[in-house]
Amino acid sequence: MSRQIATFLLGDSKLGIDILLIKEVYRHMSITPIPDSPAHLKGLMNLRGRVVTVIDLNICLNRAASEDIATSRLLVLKTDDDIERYKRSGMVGNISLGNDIVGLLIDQMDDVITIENSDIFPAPPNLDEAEEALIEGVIKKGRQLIIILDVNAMLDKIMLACESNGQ
Amino acid sequence: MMDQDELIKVFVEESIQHLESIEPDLLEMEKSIDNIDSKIINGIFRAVHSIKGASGFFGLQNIGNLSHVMENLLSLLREGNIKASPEFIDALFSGIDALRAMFDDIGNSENFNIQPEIDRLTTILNPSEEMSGDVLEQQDSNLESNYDNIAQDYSNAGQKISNVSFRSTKEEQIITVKEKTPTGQEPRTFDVAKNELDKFVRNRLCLYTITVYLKKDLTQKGKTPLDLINSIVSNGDLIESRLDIDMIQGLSDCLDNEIKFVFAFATFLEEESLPNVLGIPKERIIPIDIDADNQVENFEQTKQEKIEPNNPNEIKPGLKISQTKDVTEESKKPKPQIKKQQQFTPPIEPELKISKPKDVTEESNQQLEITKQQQSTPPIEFEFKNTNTIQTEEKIKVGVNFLNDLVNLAGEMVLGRNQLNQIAMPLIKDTPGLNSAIQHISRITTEMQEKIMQMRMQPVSMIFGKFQRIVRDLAKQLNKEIRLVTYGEDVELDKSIIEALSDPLTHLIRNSVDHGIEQADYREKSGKPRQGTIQLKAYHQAGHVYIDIIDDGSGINCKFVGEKAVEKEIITKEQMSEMGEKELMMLIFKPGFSTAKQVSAVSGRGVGMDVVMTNIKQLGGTVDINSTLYEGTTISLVLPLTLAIVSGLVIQTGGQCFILPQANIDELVLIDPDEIKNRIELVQKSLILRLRNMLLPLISLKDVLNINDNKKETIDISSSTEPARIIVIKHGTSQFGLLVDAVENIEEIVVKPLPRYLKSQKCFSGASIMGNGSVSLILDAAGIFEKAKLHHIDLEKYRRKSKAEIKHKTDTKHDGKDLQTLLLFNNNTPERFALPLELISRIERIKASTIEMIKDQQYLQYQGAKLRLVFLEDYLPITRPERLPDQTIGVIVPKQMKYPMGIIIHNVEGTINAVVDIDTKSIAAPGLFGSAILENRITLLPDMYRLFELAAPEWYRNKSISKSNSDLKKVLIVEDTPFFRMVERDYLTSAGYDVLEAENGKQALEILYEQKVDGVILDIVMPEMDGWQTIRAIRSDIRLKDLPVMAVTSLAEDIDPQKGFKAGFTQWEAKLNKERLLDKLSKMLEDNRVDRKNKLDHEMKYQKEVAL
Repeated sequence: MSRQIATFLLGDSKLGIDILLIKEVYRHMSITPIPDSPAHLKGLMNLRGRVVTVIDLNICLNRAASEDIATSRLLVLKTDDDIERYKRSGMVGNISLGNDIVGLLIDQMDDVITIENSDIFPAPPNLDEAEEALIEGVIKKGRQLIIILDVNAMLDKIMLACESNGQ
Repeated sequence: MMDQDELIKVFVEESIQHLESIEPDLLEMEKSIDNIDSKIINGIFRAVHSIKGASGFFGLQNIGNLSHVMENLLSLLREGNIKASPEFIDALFSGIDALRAMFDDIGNSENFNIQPEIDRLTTILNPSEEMSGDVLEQQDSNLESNYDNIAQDYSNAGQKISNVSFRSTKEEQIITVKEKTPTGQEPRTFDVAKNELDKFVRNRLCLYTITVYLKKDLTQKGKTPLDLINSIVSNGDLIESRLDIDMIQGLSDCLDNEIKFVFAFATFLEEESLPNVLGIPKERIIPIDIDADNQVENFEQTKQEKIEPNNPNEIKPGLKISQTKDVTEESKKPKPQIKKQQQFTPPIEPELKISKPKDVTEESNQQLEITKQQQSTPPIEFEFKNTNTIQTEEKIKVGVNFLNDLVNLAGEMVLGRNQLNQIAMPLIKDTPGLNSAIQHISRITTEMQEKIMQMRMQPVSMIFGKFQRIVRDLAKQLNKEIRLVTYGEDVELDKSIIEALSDPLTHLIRNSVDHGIEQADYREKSGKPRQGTIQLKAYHQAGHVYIDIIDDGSGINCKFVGEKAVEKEIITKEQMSEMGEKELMMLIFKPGFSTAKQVSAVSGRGVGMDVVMTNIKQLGGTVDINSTLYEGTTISLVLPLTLAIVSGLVIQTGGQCFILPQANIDELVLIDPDEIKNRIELVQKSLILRLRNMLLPLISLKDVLNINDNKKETIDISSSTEPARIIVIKHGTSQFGLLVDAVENIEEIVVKPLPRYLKSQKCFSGASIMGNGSVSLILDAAGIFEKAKLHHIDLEKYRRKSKAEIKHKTDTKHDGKDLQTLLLFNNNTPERFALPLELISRIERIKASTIEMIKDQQYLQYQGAKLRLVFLEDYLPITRPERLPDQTIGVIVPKQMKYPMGIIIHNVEGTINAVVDIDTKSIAAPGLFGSAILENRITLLPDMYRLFELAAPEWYRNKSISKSNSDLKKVLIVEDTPFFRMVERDYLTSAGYDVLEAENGKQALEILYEQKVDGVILDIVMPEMDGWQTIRAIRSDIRLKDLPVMAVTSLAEDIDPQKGFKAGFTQWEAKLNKERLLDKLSKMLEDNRVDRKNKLDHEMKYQKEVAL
């Protein structure tokens, strides 16, 4: 079964997320920081009347925090309601995006590629261990390596960070 | 106040609703025509009945007439006298259509031709009409002859009426009844159908008439005639209602004048209770005579009246139409009289016989018997059920989702308005008309939002209702006697809150039943009524809805709770020792906590209270608990009215905006830089704010949120050059100050739920989008309080302050010191005096000349006794006033005196609530406690009882306690008010006792555990641990259970001494009554000694016996 992956750039790597999980890409406006929260959470943003939690993907991938985000884009994920029908038809796996909207800070969007599941390889061993846990696999496109994010694992990790922070 | 125009409108609206409710019922009836549910018939009957009833008010005769005919028909159907047929239902439909048409144009309703409908309906009533001519001819000759016979009987002047016809003519037999008016007045008469009257008599209903003035009795009280009718119908049966004005021509006459209505109705209520139930003065409620004689007499009368016109027509039914028409025309005349209405439904008695073959009649009679029996048993209940169906107004059903969408949209609209406001603000000056347009939109938005919110509001009775049953069942199960009382069922809350409240409330009520209220026997032993009471109260306060669950059960044992929490490792021992009562109590809301000794089916599974807490918090509410050991527990839920939109204060800290719900805010305090040093202190690394006479813990929002702008150290506040901005926040019963950088403005905000990642954040309760489009976080006062871990701050002091604050409201405590109510008076001299108000029974104003002299003593005749008068100037070192014989002077009569004595004063200046700091040194004299400065004036405090002793030494001479050489008796005085403590100590030491003092029950117990004391004098009303608790604690200790304890209280008259003795007090005396106090004390101690000696002797004897 072929899938479409939206790819984007973050730092010097190219990452990808199943396009069915993406609501839209947004030029971020003003982000309200959340005091006393883990660095994973960049803040809150107003998306047409809905509150979006903005996530610093760099922190999730154990990299240095995104500092200058003036030119960044926001990859807004869908909610459980939005992907309900994909789930029912088996187009996406057992993924939970929650009921409130999450946005990922990225540097820049790239193209959308169509792949087969068989194109996905396990993560190479040279990747960071923490990073590895968030990766569904990699796709080799020519010389470039596209890292496909495991959205579920990533969101779980953020949740864990928040909960331990709250204690 | 409604005027008549509006009343008519309401009547029309309600009537149309009734009509609309009839239609589906009729359709249903049609479907099941052979087996009609009696509920449906009753429903229709009631609806028509109330239309008929109310139409009488407005002189709407056409409507009244038509509905009356319909009602009769339905009544026959209900009784089983006729059977529903398609024609019958059609006729009803046409009647309803006609009514509808009249209501649609109420002004012209009198001109509406209702004749066709009435004819149609009467045809049903009178089937012979159908069969006139050919059909009739074909009738069985037997029947015909039968009919002839009956007709014959009937026409023979109606004196003799056969049983058969009597029975089948129930509906039509009219009886005129009279009021029981006092002689001289013309009694009004009313017509009642015979079968109705029979039914009333059978059910022992009483008949009354009431006279009602539209303006005075109804509209001015905000009622409508329909309300009155409904309340009549819910308590009985309306027989007749009519306007009592002969000259009424039409609607216009009703509008201006005070209109008088007369109702006749039957009810099961007693005459005495009617004025209350109906809100009509007693004198206008007159019973109706339904004596047998009267009835017969009236009956005869009516009979004759009736037969006269009918007689010739009766035999030839074909003529009837013309007759009916006559009557109808007649009825169009202004006087609305039911009698005529009755007449237009032509008597059916003989016709009924003809139309049905004999056996059917018999059968129907049998059926009638059965229906009668069925109906005779539960008629009253029946009525009630039906009333409900009348009163439920027609509603449109809207899906909750749809409603929620509307609420969301309203929320977004508020946001949009706010954004618009901000953008438009700079343009307003230069754009004409913009300001008013914006204000208009603003107003409409607010109004719309309110209306939409209202749609979601539901009364708490939705959930309160079920608790009666729950409590009853649980109490039975647990073998307890418990009564649930609910208040404020009409308080409204958002639907979602109501729904979410159900579980927590159920839990709390279960808890009260299970843990709170004790077993009946146990309650009785501890001096409580056997039946425990749980109160469920809902009320509005300060923009919140409070729901209190109050039980008079055993209360919460804080120590026990604390120990349990330590045992369950919820807190450590050290923590426990630091915690106050309140904090210990709050532990029951911690997860995994259950104090129930036994896990029962009802509660005590270790979950529950924490769930309650979480649920209520999720609703944006708080839970507070107050409990007095052995006396009961009050749990208060404070809930927001609605979830979605709150008004919040926008504040700034660390360059970021936050919102604080306004409901949490008590006040805003701004402290100038140079004042900061005095007002804010640093105690144990925590900030304390001095606010008036409170000490409040102060939390820096920056600290608690860990916002570091790296500029300055957080505790550096004392050296700040900026003023300190503090928001005083109320959280449950505690208060704290929140230090912020700036306070911006108040905004109506739409609360959005926190994203899931922030759920673990204690300090925030939600998020909101501000007018400028940015997101702001909503602060959670409770969370901040918790996070700042305030209980480590100078806890004891803080608690006492906050407690004093609470007590302040009940008037006894102030600022940790004791407030006393004093009576201020003067003696017509510059000196001012004060006496504790609670010692005083009365103040009499008398003429100085009424004082009688007997030798050098003054007396006043007072309540049949000789009151010995004491003049202050005779005993105290004060100025001597001049008294003129015709002067009015005052006499203070003290409470609880063995000998009647009074103190002469000149004028009462007033009372004062104050902390009395008695100075016993500077002005000292016998008969004077000392002086105090009250309201900036030196005020003398006379020692009333000492004065009496000085004035009448002969009464007191023998009473002074003989200072026996035997061991000095040690007495403990437990009293919170320093003044009384001082006085009591004075009394006792002067009488030769060794005195120990304690401020409250707790201290007293500590002393009692450590030292041997011969007796205790215990005040009842005290902080921390009151007299009741103390005596229970004393009596529960094996070493102290025989200790003589005397209760002294100013409440002596109010509290049943029996209760006191039951609780374990040995004696009971009023405060400051020296002679009786000492009397009783010495007696008490003596008795105890004797008792103990006897016991000792007894024991020794027993031991001896055993030894032998």
